[in-house]
Amino acid sequence: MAFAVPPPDYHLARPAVDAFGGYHGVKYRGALPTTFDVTRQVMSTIQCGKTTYHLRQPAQGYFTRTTDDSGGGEFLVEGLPRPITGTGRRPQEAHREWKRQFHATFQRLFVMRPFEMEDADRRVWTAIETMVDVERYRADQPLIVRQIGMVCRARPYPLAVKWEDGTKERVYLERMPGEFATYKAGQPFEAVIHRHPVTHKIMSVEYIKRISQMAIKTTESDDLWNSVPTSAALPDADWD
Amino acid sequence: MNLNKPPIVEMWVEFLFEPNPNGLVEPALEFIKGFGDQYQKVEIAREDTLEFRQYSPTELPKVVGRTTAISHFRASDVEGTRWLHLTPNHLVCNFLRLGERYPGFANLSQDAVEKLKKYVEQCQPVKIRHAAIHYVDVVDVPITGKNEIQLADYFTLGLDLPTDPFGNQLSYLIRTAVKPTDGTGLLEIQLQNESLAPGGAAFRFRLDWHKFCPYDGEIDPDKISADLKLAHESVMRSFRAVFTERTWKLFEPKD
Repeated sequence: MAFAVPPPDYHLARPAVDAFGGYHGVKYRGALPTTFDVTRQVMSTIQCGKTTYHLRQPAQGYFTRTTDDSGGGEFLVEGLPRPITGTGRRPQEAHREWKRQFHATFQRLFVMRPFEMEDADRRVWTAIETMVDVERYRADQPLIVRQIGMVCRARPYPLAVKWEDGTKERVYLERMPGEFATYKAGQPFEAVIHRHPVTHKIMSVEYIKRISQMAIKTTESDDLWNSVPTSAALPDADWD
Repeated sequence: MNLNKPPIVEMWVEFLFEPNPNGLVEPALEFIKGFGDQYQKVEIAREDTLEFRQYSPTELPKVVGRTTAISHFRASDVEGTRWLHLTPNHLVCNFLRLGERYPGFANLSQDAVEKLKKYVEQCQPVKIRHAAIHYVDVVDVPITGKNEIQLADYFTLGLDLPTDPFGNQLSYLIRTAVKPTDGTGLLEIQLQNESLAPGGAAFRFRLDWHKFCPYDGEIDPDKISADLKLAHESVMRSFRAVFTERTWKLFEPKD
């Protein structure tokens, strides 16, 4: 029986049995302890900046050297095809680069419809979907909204705001930029808010700015409307 | 055993202890700090244990207690070639080959035993359970012509299924434990394929060797050092025996 080059759609994912212990909560239970192997890493999530990808089950990544003795190598993850590869002189460098490669590939393919994908893209996306809980990722993406509101309760620090549409909401300083803690009752502000896609609760507030007044008043909006020039102000004329 | 292209990429020496029942984190931290000039990066893994209590049948249980324990220190040098692991019952010294030459077993073993002495002095474990050496080899077998090879042409360790009805093998992982005839401790061997080597020009195989020196008593660094040497020599004999002549030539042996 021969050992052969696998077809392009074959991506072996062996069970992740070794780990750098407590980092990932996966404990080695086999007979051959590789817990202390610094070239291997078991991942239950992939974190790139503020983006987290939750895996359906722990995946095993490994650093493998280049074929020559120039040093350095590649970081690969079992179950994912070679286009997603991190290179670096040290395992950590290669792992960081791998995460960027994965993140870029995921984001590129995530927004594509199946008919838009080339065969190679489809193979990669199938492997990613097998590994990553894509539905959870979709559900975790916050709604980013710009809102205008006013602090309506601030004793001893801002506790609640009233938004432009009249709704009131409890706010927590931990989720607000530091400056918000100095706002007094009645202070209007605008904010860029990350809200949970299902509950619409505030997850975090990325940006906040004091404004002079909360919203335009009815009389002001009428004045503005009336100040717009109309055809009534034009002189009488005809085409001839 | 002199090779121009030795397949070794990683090696570690591992000690398993019966830990000091009064063992605290501070001595372990002091031990790590003592090698601050050698290992500049330190990572710490914690394990949190939460205690829940149900106060009311209509409400979810509440967290009433939390204890945090450090489960793993991992330190490394800037280059990432030397590593030190410390868990409540393990001390492990790794070498990772990143282009430079393999410094040799004697050098790495001596370094590990020196750390063992210092560990015993500072952390005072009750006794040692085992010492072990672990080697990781990566073997690249060039792909020629038909995009397939016969594993038996390269490894004496293997499983060869009949082509009919199985066809070709696409992946491979075999793990075995053996009791060598030379009277030394158990040897565990694992052979597996990895992704094709960069460029797709070679099949890549990874071999893990884990050799035990079992103990159950007080810690005698001189004896442990001698036993590690015997264990290394035993692994080297098995190392030669697992490869065929064809594979051996890939390592360019010196006469």
